Amino acid sequence: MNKSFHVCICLVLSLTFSCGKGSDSVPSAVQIRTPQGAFNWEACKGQSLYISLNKHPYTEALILEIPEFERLTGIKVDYNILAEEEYFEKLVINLSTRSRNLDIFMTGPQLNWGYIDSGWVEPLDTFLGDKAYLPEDYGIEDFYPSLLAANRWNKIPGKSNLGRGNLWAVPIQVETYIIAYRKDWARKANVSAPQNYRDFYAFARELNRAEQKRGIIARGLGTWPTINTGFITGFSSYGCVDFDEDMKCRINSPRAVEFTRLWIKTIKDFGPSDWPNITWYDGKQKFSSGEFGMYPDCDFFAASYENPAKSNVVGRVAYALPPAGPENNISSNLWSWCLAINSSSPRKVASWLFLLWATSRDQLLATAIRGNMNPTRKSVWEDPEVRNITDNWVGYREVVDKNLNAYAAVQWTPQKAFIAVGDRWAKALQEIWSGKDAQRALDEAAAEIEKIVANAYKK
Amino acid sequence: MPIKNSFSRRAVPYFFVLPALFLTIGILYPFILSLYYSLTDYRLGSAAIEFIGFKNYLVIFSSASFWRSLGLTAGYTAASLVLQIGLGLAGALLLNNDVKGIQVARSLIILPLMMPPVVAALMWKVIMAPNGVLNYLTGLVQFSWLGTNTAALPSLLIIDTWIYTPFVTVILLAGLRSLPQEPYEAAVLDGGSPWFIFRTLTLPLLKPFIFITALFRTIDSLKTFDIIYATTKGGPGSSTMLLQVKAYFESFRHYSMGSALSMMMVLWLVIFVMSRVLVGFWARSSRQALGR
Repeated sequence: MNKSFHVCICLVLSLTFSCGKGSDSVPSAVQIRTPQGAFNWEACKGQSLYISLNKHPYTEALILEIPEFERLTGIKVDYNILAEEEYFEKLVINLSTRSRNLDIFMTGPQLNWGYIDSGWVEPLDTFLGDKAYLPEDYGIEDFYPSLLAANRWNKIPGKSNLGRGNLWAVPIQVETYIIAYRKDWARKANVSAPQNYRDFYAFARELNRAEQKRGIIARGLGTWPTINTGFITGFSSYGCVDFDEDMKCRINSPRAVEFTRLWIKTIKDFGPSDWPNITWYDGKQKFSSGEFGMYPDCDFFAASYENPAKSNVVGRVAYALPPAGPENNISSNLWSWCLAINSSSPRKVASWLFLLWATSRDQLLATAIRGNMNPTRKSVWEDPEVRNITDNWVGYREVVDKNLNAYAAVQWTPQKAFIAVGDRWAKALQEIWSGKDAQRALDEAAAEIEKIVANAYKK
Repeated sequence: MPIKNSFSRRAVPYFFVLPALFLTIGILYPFILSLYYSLTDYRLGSAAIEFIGFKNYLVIFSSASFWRSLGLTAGYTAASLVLQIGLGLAGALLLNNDVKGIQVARSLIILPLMMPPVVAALMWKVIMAPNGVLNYLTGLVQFSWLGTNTAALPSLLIIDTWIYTPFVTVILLAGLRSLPQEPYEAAVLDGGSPWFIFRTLTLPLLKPFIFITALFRTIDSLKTFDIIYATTKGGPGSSTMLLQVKAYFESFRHYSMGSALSMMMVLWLVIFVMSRVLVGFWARSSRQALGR
């Protein structure tokens, strides 16, 4: 009986481990090139991929194209789409439990830092370093260099380490931060877009006076996205940094306190009275509905502001670069949605094929035309069809061009406790808005942030 | 067929308790695992998990933000209990009158309970917005119920009370309908005033129902997460950062599972102690109601 029992257990175990989805991508078994040397899109024919996607204009455009990928490669694609917060929660659970079912996921450089350090993300240089794995017409040099740099990291904390080391993800969308404002209100108030942060306060005040409506809306939730857009763009332009090169938190430096006070005062005086609850979509919706005078946030929200089905302010919005700091510098932050491969996926070659296809010029152009702004390839941004869409948005192409080519970079210091640091910083902003002294709130936050980082990196 | 084999006869009862055993293991396994992880430095993504004894507990006990969160959780629970038992009892007394249309009212009262708490919370978020209905009704201008430090927690209490008071009402109404009528008839014959009858008859007889409702509501309130997450996410600042929300941030956002689980173990202990106390009250009041 013992013998038969053991045989049964062995059978069950072998069945359990052999009945995975698809089969392991054993590179030796994959013919990525045909005998004639052409790129073989059917190298992983018969496999299945599972992709985790965040709800986003890119996703809506991508899923319409997936049957094309299935026809091209013979790979079946299954996916799920979740709203942003639920998406990231589920993603962390999948990645941290080393799920072999998840192959590809959407991410961004800043969030990836935590995932990379945990070993959850497949380094893409493995493929990029082997010419056989790259179709001749892929054109990686077509991507904006700042976006590829944002996705390279050598896992060492510190700003100088960004842009070094492996490439961890391929960008499929980029946003930089600008000022979208009501040009009709500005005309009425006889003011033009602010050139520096003193003007910024006055600009919000004048918009407020002109229409007797609130002059500004900004994100205010106690989580890192509140820092990530208009705030850190101004903070960096003002010459401030989150950490110095010794990884000492500098969000409480005299200049940082000065800028933070100014930012919060502008919002407190002319912003929404429920600012601590304002998410990015609240901001976008309220600005589109015509309730607010300006929204220093994502450039690509222009697609919504200029869409008559979603907006009351079509043709009444102008777009300006973020104001300059005291030294006349502009430093916009950037966020880029990217595709990455789960390091626990047993189907890495098939996943790479999907990444190649999804980030090809044709695919990125197709998604851009369907609303996925801004494109990450220069040729797509310059494509006549994309030009046609964006040319009517007053000042839009000019500010995005300037941001992408000169001002935009990741302004955060890479380190694996990014979310905890950003959340704590945002809480400090809420405290200041609620009346706490800015120096005290930022001193406390800086002390706590240093503990958070030390704890994350403790041996 | 008679079971002849004595071993089989002895084994049969054990066979029947197997499902209970599996159920117990199913419940206890995650709990014991959580207890173990609370004694480690477990971070999502870290390669090694080290046993660190009570260090997580010492760290959280020395943190002012932990005590603040625990205090907020206790205050929130106490306030929601008082409000909901009070309003629920009043509602049950009103609905206990057999007047025309009362059946419709009894059906309508449970509507909030049928709504998922997240949906109810989002609905209230809209109602409580600066340009929302609540400001219109109260005459306040651009007041942010959920965005102001001092008003956020009371606003959450309003939402919680709106959702869960019907639960209290339904249980207490069932209790009222099951009370014996003879003492009431005697009290009325003796000329007892309604207040006298309520104080000396209804309330003592209803106590077991009140305590059992309080037990359920205490456990639920101590664990409230969905309403807070859907509305304030613990803000503004930390003004609605109840312990369970704090533990969520620590775990799934900041990856510190060991620390988050130690907070949850403390919360479990609080719930366990509160439950034992309330079960004790319930047992005593049940005995008193039965005249034992």
